[in-house]
Amino acid sequence: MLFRSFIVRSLQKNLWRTLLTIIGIALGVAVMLSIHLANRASLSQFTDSLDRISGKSNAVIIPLASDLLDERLLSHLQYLWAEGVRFTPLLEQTVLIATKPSHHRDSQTEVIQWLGVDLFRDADFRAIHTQTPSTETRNSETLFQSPNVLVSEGLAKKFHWHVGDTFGAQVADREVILKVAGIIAAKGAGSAYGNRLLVADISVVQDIAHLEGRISRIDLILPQDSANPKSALWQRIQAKLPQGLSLQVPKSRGEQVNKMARAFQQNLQALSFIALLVAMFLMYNTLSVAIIRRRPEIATLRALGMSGRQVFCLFLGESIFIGFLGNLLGVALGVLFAHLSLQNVALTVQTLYSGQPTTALMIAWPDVIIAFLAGFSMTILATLQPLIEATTIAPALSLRPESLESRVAHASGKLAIAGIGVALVALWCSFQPPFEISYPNFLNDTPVFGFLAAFLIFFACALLIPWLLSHGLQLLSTTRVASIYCELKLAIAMMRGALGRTAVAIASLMIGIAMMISLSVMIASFRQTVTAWVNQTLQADIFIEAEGRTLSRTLGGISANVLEIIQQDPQVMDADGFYDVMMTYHQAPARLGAGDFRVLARHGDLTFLSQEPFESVMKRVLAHRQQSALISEVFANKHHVGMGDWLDIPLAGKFVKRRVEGVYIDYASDAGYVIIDANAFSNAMPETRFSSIAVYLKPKASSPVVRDRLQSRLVPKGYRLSLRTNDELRAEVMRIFDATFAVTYALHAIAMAIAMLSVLNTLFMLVVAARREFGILKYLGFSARQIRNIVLWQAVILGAAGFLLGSGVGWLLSQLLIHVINKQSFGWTILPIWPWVFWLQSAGLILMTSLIAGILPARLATATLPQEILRDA
Amino acid sequence: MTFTLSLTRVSKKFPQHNVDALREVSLEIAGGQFVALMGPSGCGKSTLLNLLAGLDKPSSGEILINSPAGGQYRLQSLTEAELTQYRRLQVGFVFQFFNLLPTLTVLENVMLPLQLQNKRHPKADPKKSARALLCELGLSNRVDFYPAQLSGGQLQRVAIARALIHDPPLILADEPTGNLDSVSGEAVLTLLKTLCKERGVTLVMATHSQEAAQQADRIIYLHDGHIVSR
Repeated sequence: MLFRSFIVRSLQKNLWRTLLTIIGIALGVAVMLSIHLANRASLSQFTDSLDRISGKSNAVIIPLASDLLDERLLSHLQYLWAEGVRFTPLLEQTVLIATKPSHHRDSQTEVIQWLGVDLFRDADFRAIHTQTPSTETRNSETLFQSPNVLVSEGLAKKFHWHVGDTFGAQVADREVILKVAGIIAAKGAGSAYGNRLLVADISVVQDIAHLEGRISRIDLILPQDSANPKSALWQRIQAKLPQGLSLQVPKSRGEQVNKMARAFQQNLQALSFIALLVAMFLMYNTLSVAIIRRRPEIATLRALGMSGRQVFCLFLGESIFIGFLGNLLGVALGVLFAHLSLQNVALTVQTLYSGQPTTALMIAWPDVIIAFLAGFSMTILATLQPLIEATTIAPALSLRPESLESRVAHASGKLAIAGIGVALVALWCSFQPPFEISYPNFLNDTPVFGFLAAFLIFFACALLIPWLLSHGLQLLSTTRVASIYCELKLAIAMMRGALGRTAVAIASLMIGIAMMISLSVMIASFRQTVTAWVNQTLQADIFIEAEGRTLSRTLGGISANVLEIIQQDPQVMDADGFYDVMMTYHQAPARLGAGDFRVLARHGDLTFLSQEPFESVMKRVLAHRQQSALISEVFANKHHVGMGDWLDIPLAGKFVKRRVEGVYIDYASDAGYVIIDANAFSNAMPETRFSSIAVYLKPKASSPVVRDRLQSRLVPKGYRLSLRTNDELRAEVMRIFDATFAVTYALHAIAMAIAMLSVLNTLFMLVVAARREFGILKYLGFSARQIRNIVLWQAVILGAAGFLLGSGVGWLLSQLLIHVINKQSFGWTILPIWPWVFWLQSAGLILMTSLIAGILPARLATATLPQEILRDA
Repeated sequence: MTFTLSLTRVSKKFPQHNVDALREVSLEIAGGQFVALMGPSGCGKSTLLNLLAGLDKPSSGEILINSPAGGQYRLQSLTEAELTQYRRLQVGFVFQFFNLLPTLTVLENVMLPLQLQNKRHPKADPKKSARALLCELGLSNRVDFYPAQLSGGQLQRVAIARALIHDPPLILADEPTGNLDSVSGEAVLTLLKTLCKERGVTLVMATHSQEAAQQADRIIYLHDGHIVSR
């Protein structure tokens, strides 16, 4: 009953405040949950599909570099039959299918996985069920004929395909015609990749993709007792494999992609926690103000015999009530936001890591429940201090509402010293290397100390705020402006009298702004750095890629014939085909690139960490072209190698040695690059297609004209390639950059919104707490305008203090992001810049938003009836 | 022109509470007079003070103030802005619970009415004037204290200084001794009366205390919204 009369009625009476807090918490929880769900969904479909495709196999042989291996290896594995091992080859390709004819305005390209399997052996490995077999599919011979393929039920429905239909698809750099030989039921392997799958006999895929004699991997079913890397059989197989090939558990590929995407996802998740942190401040603020405001009532209850424990439970009830509703709304919004953020997150993961689109958001309900419980516990935790405060006050003390505030004022010095202590710990953390731990695995090699330092910086500044605020306000009150405007002087005085709650509001605003500023500094610096890098390194006049590669860097390839066609153009001076494949280097994913070092020396320009001129490094490289390698800064950081070191690079069944002649700055991949000369690469792996071709034109040649001419020569020969001029490619690089960071802008906008709710909440509280003062002022002859001005001045001071502190903390965080977290997560060097224009725009926006947030509380203040307020003083 | 205050058939109804707080009250108060309003709780004393302060408007009747400094005020027909100006220039308040701003120092509290008037007030230096007045009230060693650091008697003396600092012709006091012990109460009242007399200020005081009322030039008894004796 007491809960209803004391808490519920108060919440009803302060409905706006209650709603604001609930919305703030809900937004914080929603952001955290939505990013978690989107992160998980963006890779879960991919890894789930890998599991389905792996079927019953418990081991897999894959090359350490490239994505192809020679099928002759199968004959070397014949000895395994005697060991009770079954094995089958698999060739995976990705094809592109236009949703509508390419000339159509709404035409989009679908990325579809195409499996080439050994139809005789495959039934032992994975369940591929054809749906209602037609007469044609019953005749098994048709499945071994090119271009017959089985299509998944989902694709057949989407494109209205029936058995016997033909359709156009792009395989690598060519347009081909495929024929539907049967429909695969949406179960087992047929449901992989979001039910968007083509299956054909391996010979058909080899024929159409021009990959004769090549396979992607060999799936094995080992006897159950030998199906682990420690078994004798496993070790024997690995020992007999040619160099550069590896026997692995089927999950390893998914784990590799997970590992690559982990830094991106962890950074995003860490950012989303900031929104929850701001929401926690809001909750703390709300409950502490509620308790401060009702101290006389608490005192009366205590005087009537209520115990401290009962007071605790009473307000804990309020905390639980608000926390429960906020978190409930938060998880509902989180699921909704996840659908919105999935598109962005999944696109980045597809483009940079998995190569596979995510078509659906699978809501992991246990995650939703965990998010609810975590958010709920954190909101309750945030209110623990005011709850304890409420129980430890003696009735006589609590009759004086200002006592807590004066305690905060008196303790501000001690809090500041504690803040400096925490800041020193943060400083120590920022110098620590990445975390190395074997369990839990997801924390290994991540900048745990960097994230901890970021949290400690927030905490340190929150502790420093009362002292800074007290002295800042003191200083402000002595200025000439304050002596001219007595409303300002009063606003300052009232805020000094409510130091605790004002400090909490400023802290939450500071966090929101610091997050916004730090991300902006980081993104602007990164953008500037990447722009400079692109301008320096993209020297070619025209860049050619297979169309699929624009959707994901794991897709597509260009035949060697294309290079010949291009070199024949009279305006082309040089054309350099560049190979780019994934490799496993010391159990970690990395990229192996190969280009013509002579062309690079003639036309390229790279910046080396050693500050050596490009020409002198290339002179050294060309002197020992076949033994040299250039490595990116990221690779050097991740593998702790540098100038003069020798690398063992897996290349077509053996390891080749290359000496590092230069470490260059690069932002193309967070896995890191090793670049070797194309000659050795193409000799070792002749089947590998170019990933891109850089075309250098003769002086005065027009890029668009040559581009169009090359395109007109390539299209009739069946090549589907993307040809972009230098300017177009630079624009595309920046477009991808901006798309990758789009979700972070949304995140800090939400954190700011929560912070502004906190300002609004605090201004309401300041007004409610100062209603008596406003009454007195009205008696003294203050006009409604002057009283409104007092509140608006408070709003401006809150906004300005939050902005100034937020900018300072934001700068610190940006340095942490650039020099510690980014460096440890991605290995990139970013040259910091301060985004002045954005900063000034933000200042205007924050002050304007603060003023707007002050309007409603100002109205409340001007509506104060002094005779009612003062009557029962 | 001398200060006069007159109420003619003034009534105040609070329809939402179905209460007639004042019923056709007519009253004239001359400049420099000390008038005590007495009567039981709910008789209309505070309502009358609020009407004189321009915080409420009468439901009917006329309240006319003639001020040597500000001319004539017909309170029932003034706009909200004009009433604010009236309070700012013509009225000083002393409350039972002092109602000082807790976040301002003693000096800042006292200066406040002068700061409100900016440069329109002849006392060019508010700080100097406030210090002088506080000194006169025996609070020269308390100017930089906050209200929470003062005793009840000291608080009320600060409130009196704040009421007088801008030289208003009218002081409205609502139970000024109600929250003080008898010794402090008497001292505060004597001080208030003396200062008002010295400056020719009209003092209207609502009180329950017979002793306090006895110090007034004139006592008006209210009962159930009527003046029953004067």
